[in-house]
Amino acid sequence: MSPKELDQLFQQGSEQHDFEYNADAWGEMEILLDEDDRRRGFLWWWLGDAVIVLLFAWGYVFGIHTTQSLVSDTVIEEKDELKVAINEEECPQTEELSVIQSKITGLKEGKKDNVQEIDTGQKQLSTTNVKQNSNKKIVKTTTTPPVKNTPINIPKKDDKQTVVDTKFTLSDIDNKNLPIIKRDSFINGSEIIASASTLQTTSINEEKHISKNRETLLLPLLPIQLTFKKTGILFKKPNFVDFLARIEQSKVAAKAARKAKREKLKNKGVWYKGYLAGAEMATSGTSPKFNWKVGLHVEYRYQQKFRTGIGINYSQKKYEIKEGGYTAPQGFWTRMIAPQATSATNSILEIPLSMGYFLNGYKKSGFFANAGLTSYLMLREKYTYTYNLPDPDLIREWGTKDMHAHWMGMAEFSMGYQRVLNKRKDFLIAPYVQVPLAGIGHGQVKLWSAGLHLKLLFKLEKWHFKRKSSEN
Amino acid sequence: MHQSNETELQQILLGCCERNRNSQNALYRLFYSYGMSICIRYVGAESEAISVVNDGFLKVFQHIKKFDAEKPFKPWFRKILVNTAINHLKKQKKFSMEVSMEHAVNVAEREDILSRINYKDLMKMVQSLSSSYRTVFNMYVIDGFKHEEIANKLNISIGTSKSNLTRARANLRELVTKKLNNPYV
Repeated sequence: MSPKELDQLFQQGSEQHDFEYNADAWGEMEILLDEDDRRRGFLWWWLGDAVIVLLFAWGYVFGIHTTQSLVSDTVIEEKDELKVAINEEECPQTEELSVIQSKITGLKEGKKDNVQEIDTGQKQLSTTNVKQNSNKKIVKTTTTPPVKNTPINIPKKDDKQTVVDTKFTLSDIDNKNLPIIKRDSFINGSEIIASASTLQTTSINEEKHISKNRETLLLPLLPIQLTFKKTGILFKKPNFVDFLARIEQSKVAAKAARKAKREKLKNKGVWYKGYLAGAEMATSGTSPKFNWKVGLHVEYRYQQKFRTGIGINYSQKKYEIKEGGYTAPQGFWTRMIAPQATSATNSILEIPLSMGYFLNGYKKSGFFANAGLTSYLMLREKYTYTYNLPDPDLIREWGTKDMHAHWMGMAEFSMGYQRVLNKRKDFLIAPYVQVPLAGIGHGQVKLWSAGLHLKLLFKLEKWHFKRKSSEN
Repeated sequence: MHQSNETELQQILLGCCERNRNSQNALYRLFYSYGMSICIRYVGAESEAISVVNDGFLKVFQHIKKFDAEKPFKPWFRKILVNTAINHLKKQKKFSMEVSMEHAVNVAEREDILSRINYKDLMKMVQSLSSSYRTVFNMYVIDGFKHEEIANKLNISIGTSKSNLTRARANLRELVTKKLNNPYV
């Protein structure tokens, strides 16, 4: 028989087939279809969760900066408010007082250019030079255009108010016979009104115990005419008591804000990043084998003692699997003959997610404990199967790349010691154990690992983020 | 009649696009026998062939939307199944091994021998070959791949592909001759 005839014979033979429909085969098919449906649904779920986690992370990080700026802004605002409050109160007063005080000083010292004549008939705040005439009458000259003269409407004395005689001469000042207006007095609009109970005349020397600018205002009631409409702005002339009370309140509020900020900074979390190296023994129930890993790590420490971290480690795991420990997919083994032993060499990307607690706080050296879940992404798998049979059709080797992912497939526990090297650097050493929650790889092997982690972590300062934001 | 079958098939394929389980079952029933006839040539056992057929059907259902309804379904289905069977063998790395003729005979002796050479006998003979011979023979003779394509798909050399084909033909010729000389064995 020629090769061509042989080929034709088998070609014709292959065209015929009468395999009967197998309901069991359809049952297995339905299982595969159900798994596929579940995988599709899980993928959308996972994508949705990933989007939500990313949104929360973005909001949290953004919130930190916003809160920080808000706190600082609040403190600044409060300070500004305090200043504004003080300024609002003091603005007209300070100007008046400083003018008045300087004029009194000028009068005492005989400076001519600080004297001004106060005329009750005029409402004008004069800061210009004046000159003194020979009759000790104070004459005012002003370079500013005179404002419209409107007489001060000083009310007559009544039950509640006492009109202050606003005309004083130098002799009154010399005699130090000036009325003192205490805190419950007030000045309202263009009227200078003092309550009868507080109006008293006393000498300046007797008032030395009174603090200069807080408790009592020594207001030499020279006949000052105040024009509030000079600049077109109406100044509110509040009560000194209220003014001082508001100052006190502002101070208390600012103090409370500073305290709150200190507390917040005390409990504020910090970010760390670092490197990991590890050595371990891995086994699935037989003699363990030595393996190694390296990785990168990021963690967030908060509330003085807690941490949450995530990392990515590359590890090469070698392990032995005994008979029955390797569960291959259905139909994989030739004539359903499974091997007596299997050797595995896997390249794995580990993604550990963990939380921890520092006994002495994370700012000091001391012991800590961690617990978490680790995901395994199987980058490369290679298996060698050992049989007692010499059958050449039996599978001896098998390998694949990028096939299996086991999310949160391992539980990981560790307890270790942290050594704080300096303010920004920590060194951690921690024995750990990984407990399988699911089988890994092609053979769904339950793999146990135990080893030692060494970590070097660096604290991320604020400027790390600011630099990144400015670069962006 | 043929047109009504085509229309029915189109309806079933439409249902499969919507992931309707009944439509998927209907398609499975229609092409199960054809799929098994393809896969049984590549793998050694029926149970293994069922597994390969199911994997092939899964790919068909996953990618049914990519199928061009203007073209016939059978060749597209066949292509998927052949590739699935080859991938299955690649995972097992069986095709790279060359087996001597004595061993091929020993493997054949383990199979049931029918009274006459029919297509089932022929298929059995093909199955009795070692995986490497069987794969190359199926791909070259039955499915029409060239040696270059076989070498590329199986990650073997063209020389290995040709050598396996030669040895497969030799084994089959011997089996067919044996069967013809003694049809009752």
